[in-house]
Amino acid sequence: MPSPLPDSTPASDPDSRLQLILAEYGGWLRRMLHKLCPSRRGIQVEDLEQEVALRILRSLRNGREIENPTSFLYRVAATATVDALRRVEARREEPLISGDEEDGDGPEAREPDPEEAARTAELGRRLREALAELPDNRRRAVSFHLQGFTTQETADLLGWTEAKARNLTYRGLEDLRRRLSPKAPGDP
Amino acid sequence: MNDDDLKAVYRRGSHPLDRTDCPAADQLFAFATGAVGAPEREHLADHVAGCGACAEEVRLVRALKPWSEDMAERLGAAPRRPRSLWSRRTSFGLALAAALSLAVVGGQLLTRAHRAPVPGVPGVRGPALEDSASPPSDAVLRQPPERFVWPSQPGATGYRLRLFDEEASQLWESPMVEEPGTDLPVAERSDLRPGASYFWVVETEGQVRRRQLGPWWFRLEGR
Repeated sequence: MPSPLPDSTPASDPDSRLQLILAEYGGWLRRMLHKLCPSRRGIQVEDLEQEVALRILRSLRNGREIENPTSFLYRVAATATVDALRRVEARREEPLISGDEEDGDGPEAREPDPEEAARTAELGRRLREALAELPDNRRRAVSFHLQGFTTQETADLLGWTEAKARNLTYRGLEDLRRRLSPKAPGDP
Repeated sequence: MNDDDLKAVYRRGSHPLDRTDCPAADQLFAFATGAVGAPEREHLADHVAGCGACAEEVRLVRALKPWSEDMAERLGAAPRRPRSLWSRRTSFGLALAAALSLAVVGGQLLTRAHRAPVPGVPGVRGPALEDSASPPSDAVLRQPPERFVWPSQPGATGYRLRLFDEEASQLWESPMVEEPGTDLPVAERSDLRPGASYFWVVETEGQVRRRQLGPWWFRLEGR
């Protein structure tokens, strides 16, 4: 279906309009990286903006027929953002900061205690082993929960109802905790 | 172990340094938007479930949807080129491409501090000056222009003109000039085709309110 874009509009300078939108993109990206991508909080958004803008520009110049501008822009902006994020990340010489460290006073504020690191690594190993033992859908639901997705997001991504996602997450977490809990003396 | 502890332990170390096994951006986009079939969805879900970096990217992609809708709506509301030049469908892309190219070639994306503010939108520059340019915007010319003239900018120490075709490919860039006008060399004039449309912008140097002027469009009469 052709785009529902209007034929004419109030007089305004398209350059200024676009500058405004791109400026807003930078602000949006900064907020979203902070909110949704804790491990990428150290990335300079300015490094991404120009890459994304150039990619959108190239795509628009190559794509003469745009049936659905909204979908087109969404796809180009999304894939360009992901690609740019990965490129910028790959260029970084220093390792990324983990979200937990960034939430505090900065990475330099807390040197990891070797004992604590070893304990966390062991916990992580046990957690992954326990997860691997869960039935497929429970494992997926719990893993998505642990990655920070809501049950609605999990449902959307996996093609489930929200109720199914909630149920699988709840039961899966119960199962996981049981498997992780220290066995009492005499337990089989 | 409470829920937050579980999440922290799970996510620690789930951000791979090597992303070669991660799905490409377009696959991730398809997954995030539900545009994949069941077998591939499960395969991608298993990857995202164990990869903190991809999980973050899926969240970012989903969050981009309302932003893209807003962006498309606002750009769709931008002034159109004459209907005789482009179809309605292509004009969106070309108008955006043209405008985007201005932002990119001008290097303005990263220098917002130089722009004058738009009321209510801090850090964003104001509307363009549309008058006093020659050829004026939307001019239909019998011959390629011999000279471009634009509004003088108080405080400007230099200007540079860039000429583009309608697909935002740059055709010519003037040397830096002190006066608000420059001649189009004969060689470049002869490259302009009858019936085609072009636009031009001017970048300014110095302590000026506007860092970029235009775009101004013109079309050459067809044969």
